[in-house]
Amino acid sequence: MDFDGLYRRLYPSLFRYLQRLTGDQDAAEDIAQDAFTRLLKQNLPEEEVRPWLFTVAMNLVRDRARKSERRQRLINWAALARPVRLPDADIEREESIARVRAALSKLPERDQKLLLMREEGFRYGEIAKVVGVAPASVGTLIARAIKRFVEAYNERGTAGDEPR
Amino acid sequence: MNHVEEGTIQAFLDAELAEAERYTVERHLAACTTCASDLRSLREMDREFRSAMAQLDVPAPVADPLRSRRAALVFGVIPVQLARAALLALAVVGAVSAAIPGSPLRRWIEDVFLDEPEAAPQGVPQPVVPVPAPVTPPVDAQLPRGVGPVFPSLADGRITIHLHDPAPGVEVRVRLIDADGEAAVSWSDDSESVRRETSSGEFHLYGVTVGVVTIEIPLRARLADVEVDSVSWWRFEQGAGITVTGPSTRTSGNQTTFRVRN
Repeated sequence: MDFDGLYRRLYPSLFRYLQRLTGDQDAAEDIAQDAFTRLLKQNLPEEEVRPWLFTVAMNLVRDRARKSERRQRLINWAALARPVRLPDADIEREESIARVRAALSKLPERDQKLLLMREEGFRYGEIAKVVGVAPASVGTLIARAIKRFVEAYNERGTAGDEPR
Repeated sequence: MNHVEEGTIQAFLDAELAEAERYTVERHLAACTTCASDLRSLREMDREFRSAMAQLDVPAPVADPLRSRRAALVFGVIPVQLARAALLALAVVGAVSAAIPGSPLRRWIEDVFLDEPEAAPQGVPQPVVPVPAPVTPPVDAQLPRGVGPVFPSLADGRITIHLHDPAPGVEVRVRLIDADGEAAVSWSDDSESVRRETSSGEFHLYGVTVGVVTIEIPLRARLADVEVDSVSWWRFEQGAGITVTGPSTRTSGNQTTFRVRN
């Protein structure tokens, strides 16, 4: 197993997935690092590495959300209120991000994973294995999840209604 | 033909259909406005979803596999290698410490494992080690006439023999061979009857009647002989130590040797 090669190829994707999922850049970085550190103990065929990494990373997210004091930030996906005064451009960006996170947080955890794994280029068969659904149902689940997301995203006042 | 299911259209969009099924769906979409509308709707929502997701992205940190390797070392993912490295480092530190003269570890090793101190390097004065004195003195038969218990001792580079209360008129002679220094003989009897004679390598003392006669033999002497009344009683040989030899007619198999440790 070419660890360094796998790392360079898969780390950006895993980080993006985790950063989207958690909304926490530091947590995404830590968890991705942790997942790769655990990979060092494994002796997997190369084609199994990516699903394994994402599965481990998801479990680490769940563990961290359960144990950490930052549970709200990790579970709700919503941007936290910032005590500092931001420039207008930054405020707009923060509001846009909060809106996206609010919409994403309204989806079941399974649907979030389905959509985000698809975004990282996973095939339906891999998604089905990691998430634990029938491969034939993945297309339907993704279509419905996207529809729910868009509906939530386009709701009025979404950014202010995110769960606390 | 029945309409195409939503999941199949989604799989069509995601290029997940096998060739034959994809062909069939394509033909249906071209002919069915309802399914074609569903396709456009799904495609538009997917575009909106992806656009929204892109807002969440931040630049990924530089992918550095060494970080995971270092973390693996720190957190024990590679415990065997880590343990070996630690043992090796400990052994090196111990060896270096033991090789430094005067280090605590070296002193401890010398104290525990070595009976004799290490030979001092040339040019450094050798430490003077006392001649082990016998717990009990030699038997009276091995003492010169009238002399009490004798305890040879070593200090300041000399072997010292004290003759206590020698018999009246005792004669003491000390002969030295290859000595770097003179034998020193002193006595506490200040009577005029005491006489002394010195010549090269020899010292004679006559007429001592009371008190103590002290004989000091330099350790550098190759050979030293102490006679009392013309009988050899103590002999010192370089490397062999000092031996109670006298009287010569009675010492066979009954000698007491005091070895000098240096």
